[in-house]
Amino acid sequence: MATISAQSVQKSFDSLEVLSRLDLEIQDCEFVSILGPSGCGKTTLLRTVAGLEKATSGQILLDGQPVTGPRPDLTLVFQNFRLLPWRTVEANVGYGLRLRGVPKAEARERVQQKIDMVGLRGYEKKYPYQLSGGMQQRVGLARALAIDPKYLLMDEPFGALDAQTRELMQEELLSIWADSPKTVMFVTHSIDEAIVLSDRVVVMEAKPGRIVDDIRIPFERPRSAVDIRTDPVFAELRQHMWGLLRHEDRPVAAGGAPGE
Amino acid sequence: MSDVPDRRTVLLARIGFGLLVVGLWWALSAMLGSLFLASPADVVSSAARVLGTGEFFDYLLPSLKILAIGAALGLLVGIPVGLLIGRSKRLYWLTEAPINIFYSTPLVALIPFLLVIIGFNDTTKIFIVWLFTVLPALINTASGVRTVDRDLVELSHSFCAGEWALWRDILIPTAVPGIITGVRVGFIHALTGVVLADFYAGASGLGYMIMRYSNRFDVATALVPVLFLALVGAVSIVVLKGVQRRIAPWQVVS
Ligand SMILES: Nc1ncnc2c1ncn2[C@@H]1O[C@H](COP(=O)(O)OP(=O)(O)O)[C@@H](O)[C@H]1O
Ligand SMILES: [Mg+2]
Repeated sequence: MATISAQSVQKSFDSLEVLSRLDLEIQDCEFVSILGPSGCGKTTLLRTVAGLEKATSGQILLDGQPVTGPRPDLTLVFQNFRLLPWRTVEANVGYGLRLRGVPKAEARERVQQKIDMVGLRGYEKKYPYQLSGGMQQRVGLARALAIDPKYLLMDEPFGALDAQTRELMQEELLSIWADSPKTVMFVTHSIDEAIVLSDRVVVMEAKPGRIVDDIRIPFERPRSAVDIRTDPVFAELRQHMWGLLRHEDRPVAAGGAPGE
Repeated sequence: MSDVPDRRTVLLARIGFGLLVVGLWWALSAMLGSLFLASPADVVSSAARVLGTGEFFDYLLPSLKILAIGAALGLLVGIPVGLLIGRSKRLYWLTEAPINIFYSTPLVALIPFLLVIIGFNDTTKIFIVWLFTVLPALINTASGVRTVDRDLVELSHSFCAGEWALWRDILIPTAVPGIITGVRVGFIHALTGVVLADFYAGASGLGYMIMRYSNRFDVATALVPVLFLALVGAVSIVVLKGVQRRIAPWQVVS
């Protein structure tokens, strides 16, 4: 079982309260998006679940066990990519597999498969500095997917992509998740993206960061993003979320582009 | 990189500069007379003579031996210690002041003491070269490691990498440019160290050759090892830049 349970998690940096007594339950193999304006604590929440940040009070349980630090069955896709500049695309994607001692031949196969999946075939031998931001972001995603973690945490993983690639990647993620379901926390700025991908969308507000709504997304799986976007329920959900986020001081993009 | 001139321009500029230097040298030697400054032609014929008789190699080999051992030991100690000091904040703060004081002390000043303590022998010469190499290697390596991207250290942590994997994947690659700079600067200092060691501890080596022929007012022959050392230094810089371009293509120094 891969469940995530945040129990009145409070996080402060000095006197700044970033997360305020936050409760959240995520079921095994559930896909939950976190939606909210910049600075509401989405990254901090993910980092706390990933064991990179310690909650000031309260706790996070993964499958009933308190989080005390990073664990091998959980990967966090960082908002700022964090590729190794001295490694090729191939080696970057294989980074986690190498650390876990996966045999070379198997690792090579899995790396190639993930590279194909994120649409970077032909770029295997390139270095990060030779890639666009969007391509680097996809390398980071492929690196996380390659180790096939039980918990996958993604921090605006499509933020640097153009609208078209972004939709392609959403479709890819849907099919990856259908093939090998995992427990997912997916941070995004985009209402559409959250609805298309998730079982639930958690909406946050800032100052201090807290959850203001938790919305179940009723679409059947397997899904097609295109079908969902034309469904009248989609428009309703979108309207509802838009209303929730509207009175935040920083507007959130309703479409594909992030508000940054 | 558009502000970097292309290779042909660079090559032409270098040849031009070289010719200018030789031209000036020639003019100056003509003005001062060969007692003070030998002309390029005199130096070339002296070089041909000492190379032909094999005399040059009698001076070169002892120096090469001392250079090789002293510089190798200097790098062997300087690089690993630099890595450790660069990695540990506490170690860095502890050692920063003494290292800087030591580094800014003119090491030449220590040579007479070393000779008294260790003796007028090759061990002292090797130690002098070691001293000249170890600090630049250490300092440059340490500052190389210290440029590490905290985000990448955290990435490695988030993938549950151990300390060894952190070194292999993050710290060493980060330090490569610093290490290469350390080797380059260390080697250049080692060349100085060899000559100084010969000056003080005498009796053999290229430094001794310089002294000997200067004392006989044979400036042309004395300049042969000087030019040779300059050439070795220049070649080492070019080679190490090539090495850096090969093993650290993500960070090419111009
Ligand atoms: N390490 C830190 N030290 C101090 N303040 C931080 C730190 N990390 C985040 N913050 C602050 O916490 C708030 C939430 O940040 P973050 O979690 O990155 O928000 P989001 O990802 O939703 O944009 C911001 O005001 C940010 O400045
Ligand atoms: Mg963020």
